[in-house]
Amino acid sequence: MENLIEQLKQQIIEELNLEDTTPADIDPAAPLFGDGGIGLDSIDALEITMLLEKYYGIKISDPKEARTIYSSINSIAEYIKANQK
Amino acid sequence: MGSDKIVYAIADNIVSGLGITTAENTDNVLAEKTGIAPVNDASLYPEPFLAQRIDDKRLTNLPNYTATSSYHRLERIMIASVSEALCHTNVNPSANDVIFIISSTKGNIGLLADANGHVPNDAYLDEMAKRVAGYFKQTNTPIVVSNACISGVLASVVAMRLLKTGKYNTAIIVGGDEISEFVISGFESFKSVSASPCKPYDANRDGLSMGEGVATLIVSTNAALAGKQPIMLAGGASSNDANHISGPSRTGDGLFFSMKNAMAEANVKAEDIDMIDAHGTATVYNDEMESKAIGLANLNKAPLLSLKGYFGHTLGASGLLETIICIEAIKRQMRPRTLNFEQLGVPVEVNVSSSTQPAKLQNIIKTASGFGGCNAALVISTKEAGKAYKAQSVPTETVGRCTISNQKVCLNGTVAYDGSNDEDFGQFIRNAFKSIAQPYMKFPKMDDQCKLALTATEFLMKDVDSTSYGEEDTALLLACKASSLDTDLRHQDVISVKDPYMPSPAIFVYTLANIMEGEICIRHKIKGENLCLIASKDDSMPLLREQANLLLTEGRAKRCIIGFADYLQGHYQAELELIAKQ
Repeated sequence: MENLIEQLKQQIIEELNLEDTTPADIDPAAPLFGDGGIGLDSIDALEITMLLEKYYGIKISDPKEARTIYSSINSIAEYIKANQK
Repeated sequence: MGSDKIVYAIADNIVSGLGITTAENTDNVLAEKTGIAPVNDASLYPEPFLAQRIDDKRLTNLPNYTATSSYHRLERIMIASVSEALCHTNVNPSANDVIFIISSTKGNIGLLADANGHVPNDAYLDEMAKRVAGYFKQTNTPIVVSNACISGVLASVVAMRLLKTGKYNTAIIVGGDEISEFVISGFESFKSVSASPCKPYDANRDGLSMGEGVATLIVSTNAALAGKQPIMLAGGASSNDANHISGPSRTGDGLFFSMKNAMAEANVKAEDIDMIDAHGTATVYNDEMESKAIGLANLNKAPLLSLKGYFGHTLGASGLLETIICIEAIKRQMRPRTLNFEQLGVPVEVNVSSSTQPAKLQNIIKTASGFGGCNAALVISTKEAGKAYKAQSVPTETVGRCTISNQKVCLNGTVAYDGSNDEDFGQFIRNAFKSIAQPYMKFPKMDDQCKLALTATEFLMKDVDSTSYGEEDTALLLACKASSLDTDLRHQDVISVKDPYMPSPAIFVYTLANIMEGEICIRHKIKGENLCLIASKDDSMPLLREQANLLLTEGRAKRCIIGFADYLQGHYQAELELIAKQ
């Protein structure tokens, strides 16, 4: 799980072009969107959907479901663990 | 500057899947027919989708279509559309008091598919415009408005302004965009395309339907051409949400500003508005935002129309095509229905037009909103009560000037950042921005065009005292030659890979020239007038200066940022000025 979380942070920084952010800056339990977290937006959410398909073969098509899954790095990691074939 | 000129709508044409003339398209709208149908064409998108498409077989019935086989498809339809509109009026399209204004987001974008990373000349929007105007032997350089989904409405506003100031007597406004793999893949990547025909303002709406179309509207100050029951462009305005480059405002205030200013120019009050024809794309957030803006404008009771259920979203054509349907609705005194609407599903109560019926129509407000946070509104009216422009222009001064070229940023003639030692544009612009600004999370995500324009603005505004300016007081009027072609090539590269097929929304959102204005407006909280033109620096700067002068004179802005910011494949140039009343 630890490895998966670190790997996810790295992939999100790269794919979302978070140039000034390091993995240590991202609290895996903190919200990714809106104030208080790292301030991602709706375009970032779509990019995370693509990232999950590209690296983990996971397809998320319902935006409402995506909103719950993407609430933090931890919740994404848990979803990957439960759904990766 | 002119004073009391009235801008008449004198002739028009629409080419869409619902017909090849305005009359035929309007007949089909009033008969509640839709042009939206399933498309199953792997060369456009790997999966079937819904769209409204022009039937090419019918185009040969239009004048000058058959004779233009050396032109690209969109240009041919534009030429044919203008030719058909000209059949209804007595305008010489080559006369020197006539200007062509072209509205398009992507023009001949299909040419990039075989371009191998090299931009063909005809892919430039201003080159396409010159080919169309040149067909009619018009020697005035055509004006290209490329402002995302508001392009068609904004082109009409620009036309109205140029005519009211007396610079030209007649404008031929042509809007057009095609269904292409480029745009379908992009909108699909945004998950904004519905699997069923779009349902504007409905509780069950879940996205837009794509469409294509070409529309021509000829406007003139020559009353002799106006006909017995003249219809006028009486007022217009644009604005920015300053909120997000793809998500609409959460409050609707940006669109409200446009509506308010357009109505003030037209001299009409809320109770005078007989119908709103809004953008109504049927995405969850657009329609929600519009309901809020309509509420702010106290127009909750005015019948609300969206034409997207008939035509889909025809991009650069939509604002113009829908304006023409509004003009026709006034002529026929018939109010169309918002197709596919059943049950209200927006947070502010609005009066969605739910049946096709005869109605008293004298004043209609047409609005549009688009990526980059832009909004525009236009009042179409049967009354000659619009406000005249002031006869004398106010004296203005250039407060600041910033240029970026050859890895140097110059502010008011002095080098403000020297990046001669930086490796390339990417490193240079990053360092230049960082030299005067705190880390800004959005900056690394931007494309190079936006980084260039934003950095120039950052320097231009850094020592300017903005405390006495409200959000609506600053206008932003920019131009570029290459529009978004640099990022267009990136999107084209991405979609050329079919397995896995993964168009990126983060790239696609930057395939619109006016996104640079959106980024600047967000960062500098600018909600005033917006305009994005495609032209060379020499062609655009005098025009932008005139527009700025008009806005300052009319009190529509207290200061204007105008300029040219252009980036393509490592070549770049920016020149921005801040102009204010003396």
